[in-house]
Amino acid sequence: MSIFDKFAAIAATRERIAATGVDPLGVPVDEIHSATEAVVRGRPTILAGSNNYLGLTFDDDCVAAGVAALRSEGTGTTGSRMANGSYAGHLALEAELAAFYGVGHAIVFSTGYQANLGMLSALAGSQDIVMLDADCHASIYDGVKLGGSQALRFRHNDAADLDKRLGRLGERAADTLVVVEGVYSMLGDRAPLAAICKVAHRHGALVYVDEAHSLGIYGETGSGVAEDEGIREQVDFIVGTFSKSLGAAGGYGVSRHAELDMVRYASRPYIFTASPVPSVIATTRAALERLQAAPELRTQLWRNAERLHAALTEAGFKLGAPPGPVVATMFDTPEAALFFWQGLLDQGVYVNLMLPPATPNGWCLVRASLSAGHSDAQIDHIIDAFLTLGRSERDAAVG
Amino acid sequence: MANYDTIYQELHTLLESHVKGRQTIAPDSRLVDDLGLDSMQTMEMVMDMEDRLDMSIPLNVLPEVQTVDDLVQALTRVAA
Repeated sequence: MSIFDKFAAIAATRERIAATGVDPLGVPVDEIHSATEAVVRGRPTILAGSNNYLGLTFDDDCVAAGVAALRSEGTGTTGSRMANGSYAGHLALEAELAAFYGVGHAIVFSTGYQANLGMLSALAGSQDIVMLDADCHASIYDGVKLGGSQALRFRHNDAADLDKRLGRLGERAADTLVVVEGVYSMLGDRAPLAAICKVAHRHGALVYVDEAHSLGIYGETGSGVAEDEGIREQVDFIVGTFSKSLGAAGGYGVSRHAELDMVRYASRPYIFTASPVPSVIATTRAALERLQAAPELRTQLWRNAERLHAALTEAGFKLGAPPGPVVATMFDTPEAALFFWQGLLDQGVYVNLMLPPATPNGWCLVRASLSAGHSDAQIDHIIDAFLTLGRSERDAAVG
Repeated sequence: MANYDTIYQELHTLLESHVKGRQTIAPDSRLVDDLGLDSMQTMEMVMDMEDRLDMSIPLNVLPEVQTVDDLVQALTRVAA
């Protein structure tokens, strides 16, 4: 018996995948040229799986802001905000996020993962209940686990099921935090947020929404699904990430509840980690400004998303959700998804391969994420690659 | 309140629909190693059991569960 024994099953799976000659878990990106272009194993490749929704990673203003911060504030903070203090940029970004959401309170975290870990572990303690949508992200499960609250699940996107399960709790429903995502990352399907808020509040529960995959995409100002459904003021806590639409790294929580400020003092993932580095804060602030000032980015993103979704639907691919910036194609077996994913990479298109148990309902997915930075020609190339491979598969099946 | 036998019977019936192949489902069957369930399937099964027993079952019970008997005992404690 060794502490390494538990890795045996993982190693066996890893070897099985390696034996296929396809390696989806360690794709080397030799060079990165823009928000949508890279060189992968020596081949020019279109990035269509990096969640770079607004294409801001190479935005001139964002890069300039980051370079200026590096020069003026150095490479890092070398410690937590509790120990080393809050830089002006941390405080400014928190104020800007609060203003963007029209609430009084915001906290910045060092990663998006830590935002959920830090918020949920502090908000829901051992006497509380968290009711999760079954398809919530791992960071949400981990945050709940760290806080030690009682974790219950309701069926994905099913407000009636939430109602039934909150009803079972009786008076304890009032001690419950209902946690959902605006858009779910695997399939790109969005939550019926208005219905969920209505049910939760009827039972006296609070609502927490992760807008990681909806910031910059939904709503009149781009703040997410809660805004799009006109119920932002009904949501108690909104969290999100800087690593997708804002093209940086980090995360945040905002709330109309003044108690959010107490989370800082009760959140181990906030207290015991280095604060976000100044250059990342600077690029994030510039990106948040661009998000608000350039709604045409959102228009272009949706145009690209709808083009790909329409083309794949017409070609007969089975897709996981209505049109949106995540376009997930469903396959019957892991092998089919694996070889399709490799086929796309061979044609210079990088997307994500998602397999069970990381996926809901055991689905095998080839997941594309669109960007405002994709040109019409790049979308044409992505569509051609999918259709060519799809035809090959059909021909092979017939032959 | 549901007792051990009731919960075992409900779980056995449910496992029959979750488990692929012809594995024998017994109290000492290990959910992962013997019955081939993964973490997502186990959580789905807990949700199904909540509906069958009309009770709330926190996921917190799962880390200590390895066998069918472990799970039935954990659910019996929650039901008590």
